[in-house]
Amino acid sequence: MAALPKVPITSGDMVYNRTGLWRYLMPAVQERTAPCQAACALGMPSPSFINDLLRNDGVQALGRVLAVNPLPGVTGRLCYHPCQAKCLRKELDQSLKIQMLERHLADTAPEPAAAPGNQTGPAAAVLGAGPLGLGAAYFLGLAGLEVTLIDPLEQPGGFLTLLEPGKLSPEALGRESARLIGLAKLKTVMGAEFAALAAEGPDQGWALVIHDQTAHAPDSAPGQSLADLAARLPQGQIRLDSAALCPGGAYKASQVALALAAGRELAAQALSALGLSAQSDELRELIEHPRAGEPVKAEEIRYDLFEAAGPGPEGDAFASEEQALAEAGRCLSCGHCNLCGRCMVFCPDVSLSVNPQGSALQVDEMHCKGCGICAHECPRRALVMTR
Amino acid sequence: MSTNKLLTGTEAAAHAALLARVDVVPAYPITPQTVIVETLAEMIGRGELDAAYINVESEHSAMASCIGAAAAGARAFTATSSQGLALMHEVLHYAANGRMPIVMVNANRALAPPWNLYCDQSDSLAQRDTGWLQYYCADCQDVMDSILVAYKVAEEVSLPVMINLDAFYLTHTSEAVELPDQEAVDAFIPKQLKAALDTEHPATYGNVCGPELYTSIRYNRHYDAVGALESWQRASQAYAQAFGRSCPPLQTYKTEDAETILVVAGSASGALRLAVDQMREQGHAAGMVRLAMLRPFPGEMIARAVGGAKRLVVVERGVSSGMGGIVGQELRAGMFGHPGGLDIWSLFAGLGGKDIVPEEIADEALAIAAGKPSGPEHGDHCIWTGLLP
Repeated sequence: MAALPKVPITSGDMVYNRTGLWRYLMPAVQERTAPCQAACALGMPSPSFINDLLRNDGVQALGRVLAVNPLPGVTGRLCYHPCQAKCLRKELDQSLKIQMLERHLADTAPEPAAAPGNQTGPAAAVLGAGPLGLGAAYFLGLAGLEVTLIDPLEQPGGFLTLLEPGKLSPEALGRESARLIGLAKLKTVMGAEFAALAAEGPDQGWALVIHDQTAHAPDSAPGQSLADLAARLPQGQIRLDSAALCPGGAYKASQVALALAAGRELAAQALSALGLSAQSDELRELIEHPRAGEPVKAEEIRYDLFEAAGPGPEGDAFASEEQALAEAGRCLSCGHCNLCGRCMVFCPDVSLSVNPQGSALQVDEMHCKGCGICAHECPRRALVMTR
Repeated sequence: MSTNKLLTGTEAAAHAALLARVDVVPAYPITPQTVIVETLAEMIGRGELDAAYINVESEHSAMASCIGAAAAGARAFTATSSQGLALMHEVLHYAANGRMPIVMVNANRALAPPWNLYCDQSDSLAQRDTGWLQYYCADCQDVMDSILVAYKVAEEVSLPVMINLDAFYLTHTSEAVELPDQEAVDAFIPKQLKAALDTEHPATYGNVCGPELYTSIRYNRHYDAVGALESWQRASQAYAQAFGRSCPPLQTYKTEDAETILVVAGSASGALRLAVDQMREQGHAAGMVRLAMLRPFPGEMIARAVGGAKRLVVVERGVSSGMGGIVGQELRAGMFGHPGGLDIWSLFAGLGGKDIVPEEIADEALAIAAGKPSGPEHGDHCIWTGLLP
């Protein structure tokens, strides 16, 4: 005590004064569900990928999107975008053009490389390369299965291949499906190869077969269709099909996200049926996560801190990167910390900072008094007080 | 060489600040101290004193500016009185808790209402617990001397010192005052203050802290204040060696064999010496103690000085309504536990500028000693004189 200064003096960070001991509540960054995310069949992490775009990190943005949606360039063109109908930005000016941003990302971000290593899981087949089948094959492939994608058409996409080029060009579809096949390390048996397979009969080594009945079925010689192939499958395999998930038997182009989500659901069911519980749980978590917890509500957004912007760009694609970033900048990032730093400005104890990786907010537990000013000042209710 | 001048107490205070080579004088005028800051303004204006004179908008700002100046390593001085001191109350704590070696002169004057510009010590006694060291001057020379001693002590113990002088009795009465030689004063109180504030190494001073640290800081301040009594005596002795006069925390007069001892803080000690002599002429063994320091409280010194007496009669210049005489109260608390069973009386004979007349005090003290005090007595050992009929 004799060493104490006559007056308390701190040069810097009040380290010795552990005001954290006073705390009853603790601020926590919670990645909450944004309304756009809750409205999306695939649970697209829109605030997160948009924040990545704003940080000029297209690689991370696309990686984040591809974790839940295997064809962002397709949904970015065709989906009926219920996300935008729920966007809370419309309370201020107009909904964010989320779909255009998704398309922009899929078309311009650097293409990701497939994970290293060989597939180690059991062999599986997906009959039908419509978006549902593609979705199922993709998530099974990511889970490590050796998946063969089988379709009578020359190109993957099923009914998507029949769309007029103004809606979805063959180039865009080709790029998207090639990426999907590469990341999931799919083997394809299509066109002439399919004809040969249909002639000789299905592989006996498949542990699992998923049949996408919503894929386009072209006219075929008797006994040469996918359905015929399915009918000739041997006993003892696990078999799943799309009948329960799509009772109508077909999707519209605007429903492509529903088809992909159904494929993802089938993949989860298949992994579970195969006894691959770890992979199944992982995929189930991915599916359920955006549905856990209430979506952020308009009354939770500090609209007083945002300014209304003029009308956004017209059309279905951005003219430039600048235009895309300007639009991305309008995102309120509902319930998602975007490191805006407002909490750090208001924290009376300098107890909030960005972690050394520059990726997330961190709380100094030794000194945060739990006053809650940060949570009050958070414009997007990403920071909440917890016990 | 020292020089002699005919000076009022206010002028003596200004000359002491000049000799102390104060760096910053934030000032706000108030009767009866105004002459102090006016004289300093003139000295600075004439270039005799190289100091920053800050015209502030209130006493609160005057003390706040002193705190800033002291924190920056400057020797700060100001003066005030009465309502002005009361307005300073908040920052008085800040100065003491911030351990600022400020010296301030306070002209003891009554608080309103009713308005009364005259001598009363309620203003400074009300600042008893702010953490300031408090000294009450005997005469104009004591004003000069105690300010110089105060700087030595303040800068040694890092606590502010309030030098109190009775309104008009000292502020407006001229006496021959010996001014010490400047070089000798420079040697007595060399400027060794270090700037606490350093723009090269920014830091936060007096910031938030928890109960343990707060208690520890207060513990240190309390015992530093207790230790300041020794510092003061040392400084007073050093001053005596250099200049031939001292400012002891306590002055006594004929206390050795006294049965009744009169006690007062401030300039009335002169009148009380006469009262003591008159009582002795009437065969009563009387003595007198002038309590110069109220903080730190020189309890042991008082106990030694009044050891053999039967009673103390404290001539009060301030009242704590609902309790009694403030100095009497201090003495009762300070004497608690000392053997002897002293009877301590508060005699209200000097409020609002009332003259403390030797004959009256002698008569009243003798009446108290005889068990027949003249004033109304409510069983609280408080005697009031000079009341309207």
